[in-house]
Amino acid sequence: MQPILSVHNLNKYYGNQVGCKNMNLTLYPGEVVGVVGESGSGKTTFINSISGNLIPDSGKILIETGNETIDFLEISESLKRLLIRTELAFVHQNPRDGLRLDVSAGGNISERLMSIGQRNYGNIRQTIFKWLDKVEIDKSRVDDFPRTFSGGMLQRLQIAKNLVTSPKIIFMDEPTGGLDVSVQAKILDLLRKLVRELNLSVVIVSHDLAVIRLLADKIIVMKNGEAVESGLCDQVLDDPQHSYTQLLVSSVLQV
Amino acid sequence: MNNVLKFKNKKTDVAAQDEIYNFAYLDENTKRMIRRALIKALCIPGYQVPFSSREMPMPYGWGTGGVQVTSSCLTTDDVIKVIDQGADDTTNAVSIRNFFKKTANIETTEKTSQASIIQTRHRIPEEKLKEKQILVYQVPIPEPLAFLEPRYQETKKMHALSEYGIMHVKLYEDITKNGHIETAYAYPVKTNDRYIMDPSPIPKFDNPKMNNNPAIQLFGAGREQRIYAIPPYTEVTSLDFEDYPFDPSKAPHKCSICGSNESFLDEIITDDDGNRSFICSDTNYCNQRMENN
Amino acid sequence: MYVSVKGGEKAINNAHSWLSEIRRGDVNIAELNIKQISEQLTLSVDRVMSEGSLYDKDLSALAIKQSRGDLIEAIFLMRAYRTTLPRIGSSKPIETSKMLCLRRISATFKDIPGKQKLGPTFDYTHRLLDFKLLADGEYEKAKIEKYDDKEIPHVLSFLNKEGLIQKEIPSGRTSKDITRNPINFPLTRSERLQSLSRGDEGFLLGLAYSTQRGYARNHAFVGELRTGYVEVQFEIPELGIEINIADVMFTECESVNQFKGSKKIPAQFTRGYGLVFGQLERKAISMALVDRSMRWREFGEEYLGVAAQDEEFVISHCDNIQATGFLEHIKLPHYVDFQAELDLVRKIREEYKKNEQRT
Repeated sequence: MQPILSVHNLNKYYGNQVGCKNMNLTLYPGEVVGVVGESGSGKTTFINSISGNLIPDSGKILIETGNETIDFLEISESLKRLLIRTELAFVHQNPRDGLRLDVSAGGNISERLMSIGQRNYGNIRQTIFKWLDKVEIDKSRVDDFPRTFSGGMLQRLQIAKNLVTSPKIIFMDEPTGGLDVSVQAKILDLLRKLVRELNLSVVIVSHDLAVIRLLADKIIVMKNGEAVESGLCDQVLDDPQHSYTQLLVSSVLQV
Repeated sequence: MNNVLKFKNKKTDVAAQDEIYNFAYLDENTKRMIRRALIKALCIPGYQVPFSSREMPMPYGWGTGGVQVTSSCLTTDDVIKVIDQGADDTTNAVSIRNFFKKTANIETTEKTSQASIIQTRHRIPEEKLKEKQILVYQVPIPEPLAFLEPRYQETKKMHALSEYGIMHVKLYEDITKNGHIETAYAYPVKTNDRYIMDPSPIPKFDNPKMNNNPAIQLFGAGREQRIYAIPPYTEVTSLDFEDYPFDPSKAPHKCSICGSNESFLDEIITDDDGNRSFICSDTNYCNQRMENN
Repeated sequence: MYVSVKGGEKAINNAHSWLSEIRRGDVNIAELNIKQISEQLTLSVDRVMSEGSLYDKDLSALAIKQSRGDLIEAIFLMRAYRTTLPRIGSSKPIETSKMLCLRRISATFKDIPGKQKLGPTFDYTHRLLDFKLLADGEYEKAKIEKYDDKEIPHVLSFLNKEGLIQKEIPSGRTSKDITRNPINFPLTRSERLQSLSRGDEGFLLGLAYSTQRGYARNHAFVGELRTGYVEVQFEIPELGIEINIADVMFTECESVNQFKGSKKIPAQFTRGYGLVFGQLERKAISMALVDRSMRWREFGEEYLGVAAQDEEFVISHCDNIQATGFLEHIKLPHYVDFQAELDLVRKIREEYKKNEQRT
């Protein structure tokens, strides 16, 4: 089986400062890879560099669409933007960065549907209701504007907006950061359910080991812009080899 | 009429009222530049071609784009009709027609069928156009996405990549709020199944006339410096949803002068009690009907 | 039966004759002549030349007379006239270092080679209405001194020698004339400066003021402000010689702005530039501040989203002829579009009523 996403030797610098370097990643269909590290570890730079938000300085990113292998850094900007609109999705830490605030909840979800050519209002509405259900937002909020939503609801809406067209690869940057602990737990449950139900391929970044442990199959541990350890999530977290990973694991609050 | 540009020598000697202009005012180089833009525009229906708009003797916003396009197309054999809001007699139409009379000395007409070039603001004539006629539209804001995304650098990319998502979102929102698409004029269209275009502030009632029209349709936006075009027999469809199809409706009245049920009507308030009359906006169409009856 | 209203052409003709009469005003009062305007309302004439992009004092005065003192209307007349003029060629870039300065000041140094020259300025006058001017005749005469025509170097050239101020590197490209070529965002600096130079003084003043008050704050110093005459030289290709075709008055402002530095490049001051026809200091200084504000990307500064940094916002809205044309066009008949809206609103309200009745 071919990996749906493979990243080779990716480097991104900010002037002289290292963003991330020598980064590698392989993502198979239906798999969740978690990237964990403290703030400043380069994990956000990394996920932005592989999702098209930033242009890395060097490296290779290959995406398998089923028909062909796309060299993501070499294709034209128009093809890149098309992929970002259709096959890739990005869930931002702050849902306001991933939503149109001057557009209703339903309008936000409708956008990706219409960008792939759907033109039947009735059908679009049905799909919207289905997804509001899936992300546990009350149907009556469909025409409300995001500014009337709580943080947790905004995040659910962002997730619905991204997943509605079943994108091939989903990138998530701290999807539960900034939310109350109880709300976090609910969102994590939702994500876990959706990943399993829809067989999603996900790269998720977080500073929170608990989040990664709950969702990820494989894990990459980053420090100072580089990967210090990687492997199967349970294996790495149960038996950390690198001193930094050991430090991370030991400092997680035991629930 | 000679086309030679007369060189104005001493500026203080220019007290005389009778200046000598090049045919149709614009110099030949400018016309050439505009014609090139027009040809490019005709090859890519609905695509906005940037051009270097000249300062004209009428203000930006008052038809300078249309005037520059018309000026670049005019030959001595042309017969020109100018309308505003459908009427030949409205002040700005009169002013522009006089401008061409003065600077090109060509024949003018009020009859749609007799004109070779028609410059219009906000309406398409009711009478069907024929091959070889040119319809020049005055355009205030050429960018159909402008009210959703004011940045030209962004909309340029959106057109290039066919990223029309926000346009459709707006239509979705309209239906959700009102059960209708909220746009009554300057209703966005898709040309040749590719570019989304602003047809200029014509009432949506006029949109179907653009589709498969035998005439050449040219659009000039002077202040925004864009030209676009629709060549003859091009598909032009108004944006809609399958289950909320485009509705080119108008007020359900007849013209109280000629009785037409099919033309777009102006509403006139006739007295202090607010009583109303509806009459054809296209004055030539109305007059022809009266003559034929 | 309703009879449609006619007479647009007649109305226009009558309006024009009335305008002509009112422009003349009371015939018992002496008519303004062009020289009075160009000699005594010089700064209006300068503004109309600058924003009209055409250096001709008599034409500018005529435009002001014809437009009854509405300067933007006068600028419009200049621009429309300018369109009809044939383009013979381009002059050589002017050498403002060779300017015959009437006025030359610097806020950054107390004394400089060439000295501070106050020149004819309002700066230190007390703004008290001078009722003596109600009657003609009396005015103070200036003292006459010999002009030292040694070339006055730019203050910033001294900072430049020390490497204290960011060097302006020539792009090597020929500037594109924005009045003959369509411009596309993002613009080159040359295209921005051309737009600013002919841009509306009030608009640029407001934007410059905003940068001083904290909207992308810029700590600007007037490095140099000079007003005077500069030779305009033109090369005649057939003869291969250069001639001086005019002595034109310019005001030039070079601003010194906050420094920037990084680990690789030690701190340096940065700059803004303003250049206009005539003695228009407010405009030249405003132009320099707004120019600098739009250079944020070049200097690796943060984009704070304020108007003065936003090139597309500033340049799209600084041309007062475009602005007033579009603003005033809403006086034109719009009854067809309005009718379309009326029809739609009525329809929606009818359906709403029908739905209400059902429930």
